[in-house]
Formats: sequence, C-alpha cells, structure tokens
Amino acid sequence: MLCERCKKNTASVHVTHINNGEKVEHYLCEQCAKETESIHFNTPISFQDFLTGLLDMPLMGKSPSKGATDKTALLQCPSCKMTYDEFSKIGRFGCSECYTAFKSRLMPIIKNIHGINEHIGKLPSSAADELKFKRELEQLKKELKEAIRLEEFERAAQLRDRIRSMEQGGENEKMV
Amino acid sequence: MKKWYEDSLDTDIVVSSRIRLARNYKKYPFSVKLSLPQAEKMIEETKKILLEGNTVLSREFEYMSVFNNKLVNKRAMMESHVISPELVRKTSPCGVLVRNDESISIMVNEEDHLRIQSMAAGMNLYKAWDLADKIDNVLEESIEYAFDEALGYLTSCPTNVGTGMRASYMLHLPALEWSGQLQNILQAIGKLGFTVRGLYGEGTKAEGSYYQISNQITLGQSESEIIDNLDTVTMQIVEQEKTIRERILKDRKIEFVDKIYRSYGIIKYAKVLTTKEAMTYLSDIKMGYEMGILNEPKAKINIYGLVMNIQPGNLQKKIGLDLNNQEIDEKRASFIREQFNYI
Repeated sequence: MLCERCKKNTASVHVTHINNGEKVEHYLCEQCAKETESIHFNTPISFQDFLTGLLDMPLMGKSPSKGATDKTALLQCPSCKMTYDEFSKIGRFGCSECYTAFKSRLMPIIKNIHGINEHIGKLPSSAADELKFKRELEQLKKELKEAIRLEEFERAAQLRDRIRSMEQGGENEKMV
Repeated sequence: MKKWYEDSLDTDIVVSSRIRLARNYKKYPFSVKLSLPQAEKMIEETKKILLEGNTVLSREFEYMSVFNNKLVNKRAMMESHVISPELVRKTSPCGVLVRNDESISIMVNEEDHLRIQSMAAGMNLYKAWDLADKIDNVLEESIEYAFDEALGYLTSCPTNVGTGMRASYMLHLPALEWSGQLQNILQAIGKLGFTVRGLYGEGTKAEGSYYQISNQITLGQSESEIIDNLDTVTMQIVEQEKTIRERILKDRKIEFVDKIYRSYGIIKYAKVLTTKEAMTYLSDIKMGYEMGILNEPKAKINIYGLVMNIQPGNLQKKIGLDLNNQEIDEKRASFIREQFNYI
C-alpha cells in the first residue's frame, strides 16, 4: 500500500485522528507521518481553545447586566498592562498581579476549573511566617475583646500593647 | 552516568513516575510579558542559585541553553523527558538545569519561570515528590515566589494555580489497548479529574502502548492528596491490565504467544526499523517477558530505556549527524540487535 500523502513510499504508519467525534484513518510512510506529526506539534493544543472559551464566557450561573460585561472588558492589570480581553484570548496571565486585577472575573472561573478556590498545599516558608504572624495577631485581637467583655482591664491593656507593638513593628517584633 | 530510566526492571506496568512543580519569581512578569533582557537576567539568576552555591547540587547539576542549542540536541532532550515540547518550540531565551542522571531537571522560562521536574523509575511518586520538594526548598531560600494566601502558587495559566503540581505515571497498557477496552477506562478517568496523554505529553499519540496519566486539578488538594488519588486510580488501571493479560493467557494463548515471538523474531533479525515499528515490537517483547511467555535472553538495558534510546534525536546524537531517514532506520535496527546481543 502506498502512502496517502506522498504517493511514493510504502505506507508503514497508521494514523487515527478524531475530528469532532468522527474517526478519520490515514495510511502514511514514516516520513510523512513525522511531518504531519510536527504540524500537530506546532498547532495550539485543543485544551487551550477550550480554556480560552471558558474565560470568555459570561459568569456562569449568573446573568450579568450589560454594564458589568463592559466593565470586565476594560479590566487592566496596573503592573504589566495586560487587559482581561487579552488574557481571555491567550489564557495566560502577564504577571502575578493579574490575579488581583482580574479577581472579580477570575474567581468563578478558577472554581469552575478546580471545583474550589482555596489552596491547602505547600507554603513557601516566607509566606508561612507571614501567615503565622497574621493568625497570631487575629488571635490576640480576639483575646482582647474577650478580656474587655470580662472586664479584665489589666490584661486588656497588656494585650492592647502587644497588638500595637506587633502592628507597628511588623514581623520583626513578633518574638517580643 | 547511568540514566534514571535505565535502572528499572522489565516487570512494571507502571514504568515511571514524574512530579512537576510550576513556580514563578514574584519580581518578574510572567513569560508572555517577559522582555528579552528580563528573561536573560532571570535565567542567570536561577543558574547562580543552583550552580554557585556550595552544595552537592552545584556538582550534580549542569546548565544547558535550549534556545541556542542544535535542534537534534533539543529533540534528544525532549525524547528523554528532560524538557517539554513547549520548551523546544520556545522562541525566546530558555534553558534547563539538569542533574547528571537526568532524574531532575529545572526548565527555566518555559510557560512558567521555573518548572521543577523529578522522575523516578516504577511506581514511586513519593520518591519523585521528595526530590522535587527538596529542590523547591533550596530555590525558595533565594527566590521570592509569586504566591497568594488563598490561591497558592501563582502560575502563568490558571489551570496550574495552587500547588502548581502535576503528578503523573507512565503506564504500559498493551493488553487493554489490544482488547479495545482502554477507551472506556480513559473516558471514566477523565470524569474523575485526571487526564491521559501519549508518551510525549499533550497532543502526542500513545506509541508503543505507553500512556501518561496525570492530575488535572491543582487547587484545593494537598500534594499528598493529589498523589494518593492518582495512586488509587492507577492501581485500578494496573489491575484491569493484569486481568486482561490473564484472560488472554486462558482464552487466546497460542495466538498471543505467536504474536510476541513474531515481534521478537523481527527485532532479532530486522535490518531496517522505523521508530514506530520498533516501539510496537518492543512493546510486545516487554509484555512477553512480564507474562512469562517469552523465554529468551533480555537486552542489555531495560525495554523502556531502549525505547528512549531509539528515538530519532537520541539515536542521531549517539551515532552522528547527517544521516538520511533510511540510514537512521538501519542504525536503529543494528543498535537494537546489538542490545539483544545479535550483531
């Protein structure tokens, strides 16, 4: 059997493509198969199209007013100047700030992709310190409220001073 | 130096394990908005951290530019899974820091600034994860990553945000494929949040009956949950493959033994072999050994190692350039014969 593409060499490769659910079979020689494969390599992957389609969709489950959609199109990241429109076409952010800039539009999409929008995995140690600091501060504020409620004013004053010094001194003071 | 994939036994349906972590510098824009000088600076900075530190790592790792490299070298690196097809296609400065046994590589300026990749032979994701985690910790000492309290590691594409982790197993599933039952399984896996791809990732075909299965979801699950879930699904698939192999031995043994010995005969005597042909026969041979059907001497390296070595780029790198396709196919056949000790 001759190669379908070049009609010169013997067909040694059997290629099956699925196009829109329809199965298409080709018999090619290795060279032609390689060439068509490299074309395959260079075309953007279908998942990409799928994703950008998702990003372009109006918010799911809600029907935003026209004004809201117009506003979304005007969203722009102040840091790298990427617009939401640009992002929805390529499916890639310009910088880490984009996450904040597009937040209103992004959160439902992230939830659609992952089913949830809360990270519970590994933390970089620097971020872990910061998080710990924040949590400690929240805890102290809670204790302060409780102390006031119980009219333990001496304790409340101590707590207030600690909170103040933490808030002013930032992370470095947290060991005090 | 022996490569990590030359170290496995021919007994595994799960051929290899891979962990990939996507990480980005906070201070640089992501890849699409990264200027040329910024890309070069970022690459230099990353090289310095790993290569100039006074650690074991600096002795074990080597940097290779991908952007400025010859196509055949790029191709060979992709074939051995050291770099991704995306990095081969990249038209701006990019490179890879690679450990001498190729078990760990860090792609610099791929879709994300850093893609830490760790590989292990057989079903061993936790080993791969431990290594990737350690390298990540070393890099993190010097790099401030793009990270958000709620969303985790921020990545160039929203599909990787969170852990930035993709865990995958490479499976060899000839019996499931042969029986026509694989499609059903693959569809079911898709519904559970996993994806299946060919030997060389997205958009590639499953040549030699190799399938790569990986997690799709990166947010809301911890790294170990992702690994455990993938383990569960993978063990199911392995069970199915084993069941079908047993059924074949019971119902269609002679047909099957014949098929495997024919493949062995061709590998033993063929003078010209294309990649795809060789992979098909090697797949039969691997299965033949595993099922105890093929009682012939084994090759010098394991079958998966052979599969890596006979890819066009790796083969050309080994035997010299400027060969036409016919000559490459001849060299491939003689290389395989030599591995099976028939010269």
